[in-house]
Amino acid sequence: MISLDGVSKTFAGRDSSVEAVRDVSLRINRGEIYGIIGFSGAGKSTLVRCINLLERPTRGRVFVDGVDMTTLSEKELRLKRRKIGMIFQQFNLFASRTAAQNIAYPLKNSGLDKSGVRDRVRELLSLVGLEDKENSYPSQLSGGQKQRVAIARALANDPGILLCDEATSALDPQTTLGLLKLLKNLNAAFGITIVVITHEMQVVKEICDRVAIMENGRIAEEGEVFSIFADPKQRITREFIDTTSSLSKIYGLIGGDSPAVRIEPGECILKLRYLERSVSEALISTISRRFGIDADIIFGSIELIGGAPLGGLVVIARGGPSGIDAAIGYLRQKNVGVEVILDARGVSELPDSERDVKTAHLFQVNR
Amino acid sequence: MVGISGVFAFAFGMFFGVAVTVTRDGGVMENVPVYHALDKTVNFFRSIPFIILLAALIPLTRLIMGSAIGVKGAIVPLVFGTAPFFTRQIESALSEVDRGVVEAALSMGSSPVEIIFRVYLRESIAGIARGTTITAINLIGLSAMAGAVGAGGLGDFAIRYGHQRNQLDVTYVTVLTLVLAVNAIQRAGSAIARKNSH
Repeated sequence: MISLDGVSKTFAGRDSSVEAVRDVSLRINRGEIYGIIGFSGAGKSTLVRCINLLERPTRGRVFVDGVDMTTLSEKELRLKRRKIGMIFQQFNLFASRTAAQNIAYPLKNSGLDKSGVRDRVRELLSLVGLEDKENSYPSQLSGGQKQRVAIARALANDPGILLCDEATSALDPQTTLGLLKLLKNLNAAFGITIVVITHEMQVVKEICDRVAIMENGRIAEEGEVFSIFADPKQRITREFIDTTSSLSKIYGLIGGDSPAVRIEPGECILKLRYLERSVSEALISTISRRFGIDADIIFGSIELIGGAPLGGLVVIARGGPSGIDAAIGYLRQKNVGVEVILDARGVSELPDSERDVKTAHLFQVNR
Repeated sequence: MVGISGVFAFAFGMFFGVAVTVTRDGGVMENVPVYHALDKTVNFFRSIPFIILLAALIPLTRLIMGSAIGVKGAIVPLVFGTAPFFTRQIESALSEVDRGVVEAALSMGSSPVEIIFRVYLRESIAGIARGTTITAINLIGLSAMAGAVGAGGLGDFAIRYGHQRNQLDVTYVTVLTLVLAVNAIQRAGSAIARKNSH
């Protein structure tokens, strides 16, 4: 278990200082995959380095399995670090050593003899699926393979914790998915606690149990990934969620006056967001039947997050004004977030030019 | 003369090159006062032309070697003339080691001494080989001036016989010998550097 208690880190410059991390307190449970997400400069990399004391916090305390890291001597700290693996965005492999030699590096003081080291290295290589790359130098490996070697190296001394600093940010989406799957398997197989630093919400969505969103050195919001996605409280959180969902594209389409979102008088565009884990009813069919509405789905994005469906639809609703209102009421009652993002119900009699002004206005209000 | 001063200059340069690298701001054995002292000392000796160094170091040379003339008298100034240069070569080779790699070693629980030997020196063998090559060739150049304190050598030979006796063929043979020697050193250095680049 990792627990940060009022951690701050200030970098003193010549004439100004930068507060990279400000009074952060959080707890990461044993065996959990915990995400820390933020834009670059948010302080997340500094924060993760405060866990293994690569950066010593200016204030606050860091507990790893109940031990206050900030009070350890240099020697005790080095021993402790062997039980906290870390991987990096740029892999940081030793270029002059082969994959096997890289993995053997941290085993030097482990008490294993030569053949013991060789066996352990083989075991680790097969764990990350690189049995055949034993004698390759890093320059002969692809980015994904390099990161796998780095993972094997980080796991050499059976750490209980693995810190991942933007570990997938230099990789293509396909490789990223493969690597995330590997991390997830390691977590499931060994119960290793994983802390994932990233700026990609996709990564959080894929593997994290809980997530903290960082901004300006502070934690803006923290919680279970599903509830964060379902009900983001902070603007920064919504920005991150929007990056992963095609639903937010609707605003771009409306702003760009795309034909896909042009509506006739009497119609309106609704954005429906599923907020609860239990959404399984055929909501669209139900509102069509019960309220006599045509719901034309123009966008949809439903994903499984933490095993539960999360996402939403963008529909053009057509029908009597009272029908639409009743349908919105019904949906809200079913705990579906309903947002009217473009409304042409009350503008049927207006000439075209004024209608544009009115819809533009409505768009701004509802946005 | 070149051999003995080379060995000493290599040892001193290596030590100080590593010291300058690890004591600088953000280094694994950060110690800014020590860094500045080393840095200034290296600059000081680097700014003195060798022929002047040769004369200026006479009292020190006499103290250490018991004599300030002959081969004995040339070794101390050659070490002083070469070690600071080699220090910079080592510093530059070690600076090629990525900061992130050092950080990775720290995260695996390596001590500063381990990082020096298992990361810095190991990772920059190619750069060190190149720096050593340049320094060795430089040293040969400096040793040509050692004749000024009666240490003999190829430079002295070329001046005394080739120039002062006007035996141009002697000068040419000297030049040829030096070209071959430097060539051999360069080849060996490049081969080591190539073998250690992955």
